[in-house]
Amino acid sequence: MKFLLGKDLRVGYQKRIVVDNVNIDLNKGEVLCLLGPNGCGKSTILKTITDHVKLIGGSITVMEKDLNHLSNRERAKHMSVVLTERISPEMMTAEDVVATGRYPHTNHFGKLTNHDIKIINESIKIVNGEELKNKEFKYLSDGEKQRIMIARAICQEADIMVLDEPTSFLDIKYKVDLLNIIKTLSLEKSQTIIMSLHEIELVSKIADKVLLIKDGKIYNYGTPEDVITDEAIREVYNLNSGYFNTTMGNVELPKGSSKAKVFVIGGGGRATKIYRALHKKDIGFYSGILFKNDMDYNISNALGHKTIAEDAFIDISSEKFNEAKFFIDTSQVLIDSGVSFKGIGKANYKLLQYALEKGIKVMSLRKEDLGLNFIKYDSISSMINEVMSLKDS
Amino acid sequence: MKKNLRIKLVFIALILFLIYTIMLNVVSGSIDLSYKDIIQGILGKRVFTELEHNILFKIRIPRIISAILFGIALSISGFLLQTFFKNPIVGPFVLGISSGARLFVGLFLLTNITIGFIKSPLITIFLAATVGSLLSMLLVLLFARKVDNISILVVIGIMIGYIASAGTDFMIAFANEHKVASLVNWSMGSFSGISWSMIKLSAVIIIPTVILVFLLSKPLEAYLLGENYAKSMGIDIKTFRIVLILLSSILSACVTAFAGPISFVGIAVPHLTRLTAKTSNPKILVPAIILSGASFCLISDYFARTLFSPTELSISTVTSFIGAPIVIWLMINRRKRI
Repeated sequence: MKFLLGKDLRVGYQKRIVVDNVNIDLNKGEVLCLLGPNGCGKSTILKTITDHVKLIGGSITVMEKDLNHLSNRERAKHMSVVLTERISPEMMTAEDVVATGRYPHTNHFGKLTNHDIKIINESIKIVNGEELKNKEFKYLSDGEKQRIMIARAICQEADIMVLDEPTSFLDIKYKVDLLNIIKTLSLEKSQTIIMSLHEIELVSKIADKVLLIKDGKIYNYGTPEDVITDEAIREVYNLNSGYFNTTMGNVELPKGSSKAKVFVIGGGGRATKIYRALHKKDIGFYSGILFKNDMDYNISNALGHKTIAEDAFIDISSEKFNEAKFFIDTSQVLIDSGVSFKGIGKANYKLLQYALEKGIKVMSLRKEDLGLNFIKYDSISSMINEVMSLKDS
Repeated sequence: MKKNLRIKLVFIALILFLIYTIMLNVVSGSIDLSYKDIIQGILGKRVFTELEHNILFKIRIPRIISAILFGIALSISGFLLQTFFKNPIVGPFVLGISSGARLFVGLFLLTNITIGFIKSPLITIFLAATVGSLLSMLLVLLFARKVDNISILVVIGIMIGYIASAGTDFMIAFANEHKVASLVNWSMGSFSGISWSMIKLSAVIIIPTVILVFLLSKPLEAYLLGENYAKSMGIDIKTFRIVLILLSSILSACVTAFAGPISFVGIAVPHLTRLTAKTSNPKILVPAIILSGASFCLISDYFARTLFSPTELSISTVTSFIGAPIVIWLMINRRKRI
């Protein structure tokens, strides 16, 4: 039997249904992420689960108990929340704020027992908030506030924690910290977590289940491996230009429009920054000869005019080699990213020689000169400036 | 630990100050009665003259008790409103609630309407004031749903206050002189001329209400995090909201009914207390506000009686002089957030 079951949920407001037919099932300790563009109904679904918006149809059960039939207090023992709204209570320390999480467990006067205080301290420790606890909550930074609000939710000791966009307003360090905390909670405390996230690339790293929502409809539900595909993301987010690479977890802008003038010898991830720099300045490029398991391959495919690539781990075929030569012939410049020429990479060394023979200008980031007559650069930016001046002439 | 020490010191200081203000009010006035005389009198070593006895038990002590009761009621009422609106700039007077109460009391004092079976004029006045408070509170809430800017809400509250006052003035224009005199006296805002029966009635209303507020300390604290969080902790928000409004309206209505509208106590006392105790915990704050609210009204009444003696100022004159600058200061300091 599933721990948490949402069946045929119809969520929205009196006059307007926001999302219909939401079905979710979670085991204890699983993490569910809601993903979708702004305004797709993520927040409304979460608010319905937390009962801040009344459920219009369907049922939510936790261990076969209908959540809507529980008293407020019982419900609070099952579910803690971290909301998007920013609170700034007067004269309350971070510790005071965390302590309010004990509300459903304390007596009528809210007296904190030693047990309560122990749990409060543990919760603060989980979010690494020890040095914050005596500070006034109002004056903490956004990231610190978010951590404290999570500690507050932790110390409520509910089986389910619902977080609405917990990463917004957080910089990268805090995002990583936060996801780490969530992972710890799910793995070590068997805390079931339901949250909405903006960052597609983070979802597959943290979620056990994904609910992908588009325009008030459930696009797909399942494990991130099944649900988050390049195509699904393009459709859900209406990405007509540019695209989101779900394998690499990054966003790419549309390809440039100008004609290619540069050939980049890439590989081993060394060329990614070169591709980006060229793309930013709208300098078209070809790239090769890459292996299909290389990260450069993904990026070059997204940004370049033509990518010549060979299947992974095999010698470069003469067919690919000749194709590369053809594109080098039409280029003004060849950029050598400094990739290893050893083993199956030696075909690229031959390409470099070929370019020099043809009198094509070769710019290289390589430290050693290999007895060849190319121009050495020590930074990508100086190289790109040089390419730009060529382009103008 | 440092925090606990501070709170203990604050309580000791508040208790001492309350005792001091009570003593001050007992001895000062048109007839000199020294501390020594009074203590000896109470211990039975000295017999009070009839005049002294009358002054003490018919004038000064009732006045002291009413200042204490009304000070507590106004401060707690303000505290509840501040919790409700999550803002320290609100109080029963600025939101127009006191003026609404006054309008309805005026309606009863100036016309001959009586409420069915209730014979006691005091209870009638109290009920009228409560209805007036609640109505203007509802009006404020109606506007509060439209504007999320607290400054605008305060301005709206002041406007509601003016409209209510205009309504009262309108009735005065058409009422007979003798009734007008009683209304004008009443609406000056004063602790003088309060009878023991008024005190008993207000004590019966104020003391249980304040105890109830104290018993609500736990949800009040949770409410500080906002309604959505409070709900997630298991509070029935709709009920709690009604309870907050009802309790604060009853408290301010009671004061308005028997002492007239008294301004700014409701804002100044909870805020100053919060600043001094450096906590928002209602379990600490409610008792502290009870002590400081009582002292604040006692000291204000002392100034009202003695500053220009024999001319007596209205209590609102004094509380406005102290309270209004505090509100201005608050508004300027919090401009960033408003």
